[in-house]
Amino acid sequence: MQYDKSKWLMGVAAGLLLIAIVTALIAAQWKHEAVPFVAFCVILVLTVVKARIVVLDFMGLRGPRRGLSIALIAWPLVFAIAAATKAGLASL
Amino acid sequence: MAVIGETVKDEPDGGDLILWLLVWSELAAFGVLLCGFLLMSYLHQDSFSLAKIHLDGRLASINTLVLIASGWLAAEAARASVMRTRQLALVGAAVLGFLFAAIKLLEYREELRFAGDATFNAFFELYFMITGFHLAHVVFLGLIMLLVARKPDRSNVVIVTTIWHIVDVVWLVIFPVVYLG
Repeated sequence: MQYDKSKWLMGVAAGLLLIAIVTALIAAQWKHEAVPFVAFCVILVLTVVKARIVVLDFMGLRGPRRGLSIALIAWPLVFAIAAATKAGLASL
Repeated sequence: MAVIGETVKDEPDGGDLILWLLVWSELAAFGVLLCGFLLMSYLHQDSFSLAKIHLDGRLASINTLVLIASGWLAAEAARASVMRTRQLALVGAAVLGFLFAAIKLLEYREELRFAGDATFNAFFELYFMITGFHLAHVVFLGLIMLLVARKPDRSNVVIVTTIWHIVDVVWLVIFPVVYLG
């Protein structure tokens, strides 16, 4: 059981790093141009994955406080969506 | 609170309230600052768009990777059952935190040249406030992790690494909002 969970953690870490690398490449490539909408989606996924899996599940911060847990996931979602919406409107 | 890999059960009365308060005090403070930034960037679209050209997105991207790697080491520290592994992971996470700070200062050195420009004044005031506040958290928590690494009691390790992950999450929001938005 311990071994499986360890592998799961390594998989999550690898996935997070991979997404971050892609994000870095996108950001570097479009430094002086309008960032494509997909960049925001990548960041959105990365941030929510981090909040959900690492903080809530791995660190055990879920517990009985369901409202606070949901709010923790909602916090990065709100800002990522706001930034994406703003970028989307600006590109129109 | 239980970290995966342990068999410790959650406290029935929700003994993690202090940790939640710490987490939400961070999120509330950064939330207000980011709301302010989004609002100002909506009101001053032209000057904010121009100012963003002077930011170094590549260094910020590298810093994102550094902080993600640091968060992974922090998770390893929380998971480790061997004292030595826990200490090494904590020190590694702290060192990467300091690397983040060094890269950020390098970035600031270039950006300070534009901070005095009246056109970009509102942008850089908010930019330095948000990223500087975040940088202070990274440095402070890095020092705390080094202190905890001297005697890595599990409860202390869980608290400091959880806050570290929150600081990670905050950066992952700052990055798209400030640099890419």
